[in-house]
Amino acid sequence: MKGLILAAAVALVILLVGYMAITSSSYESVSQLARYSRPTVVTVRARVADIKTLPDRDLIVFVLEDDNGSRVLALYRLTRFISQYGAPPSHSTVEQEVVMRGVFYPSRSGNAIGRLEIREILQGCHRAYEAPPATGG
Amino acid sequence: MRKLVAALAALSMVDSATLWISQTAGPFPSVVPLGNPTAYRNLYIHVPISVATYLLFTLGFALALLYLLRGRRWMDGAAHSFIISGLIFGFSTLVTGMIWASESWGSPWNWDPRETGVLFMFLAFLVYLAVRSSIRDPDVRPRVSMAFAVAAYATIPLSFLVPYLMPSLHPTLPETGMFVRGGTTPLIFGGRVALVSAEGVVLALLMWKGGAGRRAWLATLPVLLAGLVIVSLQIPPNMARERPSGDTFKVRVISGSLLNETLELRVRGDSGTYILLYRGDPPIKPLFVTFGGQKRLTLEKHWLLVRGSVEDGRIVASSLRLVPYWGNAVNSLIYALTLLALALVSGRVNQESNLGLIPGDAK
Repeated sequence: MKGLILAAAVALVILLVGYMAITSSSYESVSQLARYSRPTVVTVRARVADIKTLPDRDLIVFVLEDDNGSRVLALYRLTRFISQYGAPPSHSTVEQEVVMRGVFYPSRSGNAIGRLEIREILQGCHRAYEAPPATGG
Repeated sequence: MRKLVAALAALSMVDSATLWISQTAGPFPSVVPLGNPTAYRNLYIHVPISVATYLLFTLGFALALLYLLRGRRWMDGAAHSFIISGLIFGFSTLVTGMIWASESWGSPWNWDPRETGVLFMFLAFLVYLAVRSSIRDPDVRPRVSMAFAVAAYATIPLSFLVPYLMPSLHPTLPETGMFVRGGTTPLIFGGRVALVSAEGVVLALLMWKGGAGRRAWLATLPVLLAGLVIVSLQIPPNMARERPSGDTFKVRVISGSLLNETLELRVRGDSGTYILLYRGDPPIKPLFVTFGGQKRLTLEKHWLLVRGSVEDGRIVASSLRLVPYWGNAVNSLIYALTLLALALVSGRVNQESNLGLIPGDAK
C-alpha cells in the first residue's frame, strides 16, 4: 500500500510538471504577442490574411491575423521559401493557418502589433491525410 | 526461450518484407502541404514504432502495478524488461519523428505539444532507470522503482491526448484514419503496427528471460538486411546533381499538365526553372486528383530522377523516377538497428533481477 501511495503522489507531481511543460511550449496567438515589449523568440499560430511577394527585395510578407483583428507582418526570404517549397507562395504551398517560429519585434502601426522575422515556417500534416492516396517509385 | 527466438525470427522475416513493400510501394498522400510527399511513407515506420513504445510502457506499467499489489519478484523483472524495451523504442520514436518532421513540418524539432509530451515521457522513464540503478538494497529497489514506474506512466495519457486538447502539428487518430482507409494502406499500415509491436513484446520477453545471446540478434538480421538494401537503393538518387545536364539529374516539380499524352512539367533545377517534356508511363498513380475542389497534379513537390537531354532549353526525358525522401531509408535503418540493439542488450539488462525468479523456476 505504501508503494501505491508513493506512486500516486509522484504521478501527480509528474502530471503537473508535464502539463506545465506541454502548455508552456504550446503556440501563441497573434494577440498574445501584444504582451511583449522587447524582441522575443516566439512560435505563433495564426491565419494567413494576405501574402505579398517582393522579388526585388527577396522577401515574402505574410500578414498574420487573429480572430479579434490583431495583425503581425511576418517576413521570410523568398529564395529560401522557393528552395524549400519548390515555388513562390500560393494556395498550394501555404495553408490558411500556419505555425511560424521567429523573433517578434513589437512596433504598433495600424492593426499591426509588430513584425515577425521568421526563422521557420512549420506546417501540420493534418490536411495531407485528407488527400487521396498515391503510389509510385 | 527457443520458442521466443523462433517467433522473433519468423516475425523478423515477415517484418523485413513489409518494411521493403512499405518503402517501395506503400501509398502516400497525393497532396501534401510541405516537402517531398514520399516522406509520408514514414507513416509505416515512425507510427508503428511509437505504437510499440506506448504498448511496451503500458505492459511495464501493468506489471509494475501488479508487483505493488501482489509483491511477486518476477513481476519486477518483467516490468523492468518492458520499460527498458520501451525506452529503446521511445528513443527510436523521437529520432525517426525528427527526421520525418525536418521534411514534412519544416524543422526537426518544434516543441510541438506531442513532441514535448513524448520527450517528457522518455525522460520520466530515464529517471526511473536512474532511480532503480541508484538503490543498492535488493528489497527496497523493486518497491521504489516499481512505484516510480507506475507514476511515470502518467506521462503516457498526457503525451497521447495532447493533440486532442490543444493545437498540434501532430494529427489525431481520426485524422490519420482518414488516410488509412482504402486500397492496400490499411493492410500495410496495420500489418506494420502489429509486427513492430509483436517484435517489441517478444524482445522484451527475451530480455526478461535473460536473453538468447547470439540467436536473438541473428533473428533480427532480416530486418537489418532490408534496411541496408533500402538505404543502398534510395540514398543514391537523392545525391544526383540538380543541374539539368549530362545523362541523369534530379529536378523538383512545380506544376504541369498532360497534353496529347505528353507530360509537360515546370520543374526547378539548381539554376532556375525548366520545361520538362515526357511521353511514357508517369512515375506516379494517379497523375491527377481532385482535392479541395481543385484538380491537382500529384507530381507537385516531388523530386524526379530524370534520364534525358536538354534541347533548346527544354528537358526531353526518356525516363522519370520519383526520388524517395532520404529520411525514409535512414529511418528504416534506424528501426532495424533498434531491434538489433534490443536483441544485443537483452542478455545483459536483467540478469540480477531474474535469478531464479521467473515463474516456473525455483523461488
